[in-house]
Amino acid sequence: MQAIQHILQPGVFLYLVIGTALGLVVGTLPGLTATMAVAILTPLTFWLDYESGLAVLVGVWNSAIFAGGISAILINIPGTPASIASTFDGYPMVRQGKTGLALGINVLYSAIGGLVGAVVFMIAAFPLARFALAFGPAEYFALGLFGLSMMVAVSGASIIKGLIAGFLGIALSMVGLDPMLATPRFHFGSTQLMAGISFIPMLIGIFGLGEVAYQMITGEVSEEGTTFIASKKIGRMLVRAAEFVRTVPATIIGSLTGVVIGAIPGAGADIASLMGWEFARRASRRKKEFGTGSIEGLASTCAANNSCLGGALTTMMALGIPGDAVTAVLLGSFIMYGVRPGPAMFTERADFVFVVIGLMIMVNLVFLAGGFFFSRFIGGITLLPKPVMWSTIIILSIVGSFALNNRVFDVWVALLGGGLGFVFRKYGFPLGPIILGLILGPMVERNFRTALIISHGSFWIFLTKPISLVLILGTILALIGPTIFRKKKEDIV
Amino acid sequence: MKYVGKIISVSLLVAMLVLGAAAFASAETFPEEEILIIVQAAPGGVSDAVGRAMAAAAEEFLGVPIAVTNITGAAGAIAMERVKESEPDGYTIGYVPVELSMVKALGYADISPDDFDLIMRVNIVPAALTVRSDAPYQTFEEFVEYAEENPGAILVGTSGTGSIWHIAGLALEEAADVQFTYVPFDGAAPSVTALLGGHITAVTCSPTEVLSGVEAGDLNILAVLGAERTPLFPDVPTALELGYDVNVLAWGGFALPKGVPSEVYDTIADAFYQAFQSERFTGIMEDWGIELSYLDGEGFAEFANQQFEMYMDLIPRALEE
Amino acid sequence: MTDGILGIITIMIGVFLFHQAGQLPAGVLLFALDPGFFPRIIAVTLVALGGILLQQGIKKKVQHTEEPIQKETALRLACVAGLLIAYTLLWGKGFFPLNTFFFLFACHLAMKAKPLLAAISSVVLSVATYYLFTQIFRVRLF
Repeated sequence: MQAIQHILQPGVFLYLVIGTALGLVVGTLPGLTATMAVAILTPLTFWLDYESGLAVLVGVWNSAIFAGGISAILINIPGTPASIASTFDGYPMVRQGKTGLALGINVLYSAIGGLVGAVVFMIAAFPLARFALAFGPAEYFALGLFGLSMMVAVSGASIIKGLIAGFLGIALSMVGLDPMLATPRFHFGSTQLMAGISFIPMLIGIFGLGEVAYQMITGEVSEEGTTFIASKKIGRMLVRAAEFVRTVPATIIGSLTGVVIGAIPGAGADIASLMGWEFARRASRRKKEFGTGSIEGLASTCAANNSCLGGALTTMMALGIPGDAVTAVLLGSFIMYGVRPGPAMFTERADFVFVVIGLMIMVNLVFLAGGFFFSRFIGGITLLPKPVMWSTIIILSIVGSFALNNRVFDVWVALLGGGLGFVFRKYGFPLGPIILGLILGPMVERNFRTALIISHGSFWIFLTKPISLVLILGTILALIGPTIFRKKKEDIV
Repeated sequence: MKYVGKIISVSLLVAMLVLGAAAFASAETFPEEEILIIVQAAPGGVSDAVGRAMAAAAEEFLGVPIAVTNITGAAGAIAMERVKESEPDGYTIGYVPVELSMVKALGYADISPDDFDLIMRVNIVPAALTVRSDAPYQTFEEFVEYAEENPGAILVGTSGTGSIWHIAGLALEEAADVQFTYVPFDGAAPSVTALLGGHITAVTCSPTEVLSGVEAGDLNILAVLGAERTPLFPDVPTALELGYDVNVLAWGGFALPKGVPSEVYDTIADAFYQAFQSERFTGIMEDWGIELSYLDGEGFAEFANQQFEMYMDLIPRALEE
Repeated sequence: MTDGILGIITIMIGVFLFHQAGQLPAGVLLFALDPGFFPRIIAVTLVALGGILLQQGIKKKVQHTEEPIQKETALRLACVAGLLIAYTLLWGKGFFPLNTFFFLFACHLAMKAKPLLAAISSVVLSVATYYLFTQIFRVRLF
């Protein structure tokens, strides 16, 4: 009860709104990530009491993940890595003239997902954390493999090209220190390359710079092909009742996938958003629509990346283990407030825990209220002259890549990504698989080899653990299923 | 109308040139502008906490703002190389961890303590042997006995091959004459998670990393693998007390690139020492459970070089087994 | 035919990867597979996939509908790419807002913006970026 009073103080609420507003800006701008924003705002903990300080951090974190979807939808560039899957259905919707609806779905379902995450955190923190601990190397390997099997689903017209893109992604992810033995691989004598190709600059390059280059050539060939024409009319933003009913299963699947993936240390919002989309697709009766502007697809991934945050917070607070970069920073700020996350804090500092839960619920209501207006306002920026728009994306992509780690090398990585992104678009290679390869390749390799150490070389470890077995069977079914059940309708190309 | 654009751009150009020239004005007294501390680890960990706390505390004594930047990669080699190659004017300071003495032996970069003007050592972090509470052994002796009876069965999680906590495991293995199987993870936190989940048998990372697991009763810390007991767990014996010659610790301090003018060095060293003793700094260190252990520049250099010699000998041997 | 060439490039990447992977040292950790193990699997798969694409390209089974890039557009794109590389090479030399202004101004022109719009937009963008990153995000630019 006291916690509610804490949060309802006007001061705390104001800080939450400020944090949410900052998050909207950071999330929308490609090149700025939620992690960066939370890390930069952490020193606030020196000056603010814990309710207010956490209000800012929680606000920024949640709303940045939501707002990343806005740019993914409008300009096909995910604002943060958590919105990659929003480009699958969101951007096609814009091209079909349903800009408003896509933006509206992003607001509504992000809030729903966020609320599901917060509620699960409130009622089931410990069971969820225990379940997350069941994930060992064998389970991570199976999860990664399952994710990689998505390559087929997101390949679009040519599965072969999709697979090539995916395996190139895996190959790129192998540059740097070998995950097990720390042997440098493919570094050609450079210490910079030895540290590996950073994922976020690569992502910024492939989506941001690559998209600009591609729009530069298509924009002049066919005016219809670009976002900016289609988005002149934003249109209705609210889903109709019938549409809402249709998305219920996808939303539930997306949200729950998000919470669980979020709770597993090492798998963040990017993986959650992709997996949420995939699980919803598998369960849907309208599989074919996924990836072509399906409202179910967009709803599931929007719900998944926001519900993931509740899951991530669960593991961090219930076990004292930061699962990703943002929760690591949050853990640091908890410590600054004299609270050490772990099972003990739920009894010793229950007030603190309740404040966090309260904020996690409130923030979703805040951005649900403000998100529609903000999205509509941002929708207007696509009406800017194209050179201005493109230059903005270019400069944010470059400086954003640099700012991540203060390395010019990362800017070169972004440029390389831009070149790749352009060539891929030009020659009909889908982008989804390369991202899957970059994210999941290292996870699969590391955990496959770790599991073999643990089992002393026996492959049975992957089949004797229930979670791993189920995921591997799911993968096999996903790959072989369609070829068995297909009625010789079309060639697999 | 056409000229408006030109006028705007030209006037802006002039304004920027003036601003730029001002930045180049010669600095007579140190410090005159913002100082940068480069931390080799991501935000959220011990290294970052020390770097930021020192920045916040030393600002007061130096009278200029101190910014903190995180540059990660290759076990800190990227960040240390950046510090090493930066201008020795005192405006770039690096946080240097134990890896300063290790990266050369690991073959990541050509860096040794002699490449820097070391300012001070701030903290030490001993290694500790932690197991699950439901394990068949409750003491260090029982653990060693178990390991002797089951060679290779103990799965020791480390924060990566060649990392300091892997070295700790290797040292223990040698001292107790047993055989472990090493499972490298991407940092200490994932290895502790795997231990909590029962996927591995033991970890040899710092006591701070396992604190919440031990408090919750899930984990059991058997021995400290450093020279002295840790204030976090005063009842836990050291391996040395029990007769095993193991002494592995991580540490951290601050360093300047080689060749900083002596009066600049003195200004920074004095300010950092004052900051080190300030309540603001010690308060944050206490919250984090970081064990402070001061050495002045000279002492730190001697210590770091001694460690450097040790790892140059130990790491190639250890990784060749 | 384009797909055929892309297939050959893929095969070449695969072969290169395989060759590089072969030069990695063997592992020293028990049961941990060599560092070259996974790269080799990826390399072999790439070669196989490249082969299929090559075959499809020759058989013209899948023809990617391709609009030829106009010469002028290609030139504009090359200009922007060149500017990006020059800007990155000059990173750290000079003064950030000034470098950025010239870079963006040239980019705008290459994208067919009118000079007045280009000037205003570049001024606003370079100053705003500088302020955003140095003052708000505390990133050290030059």
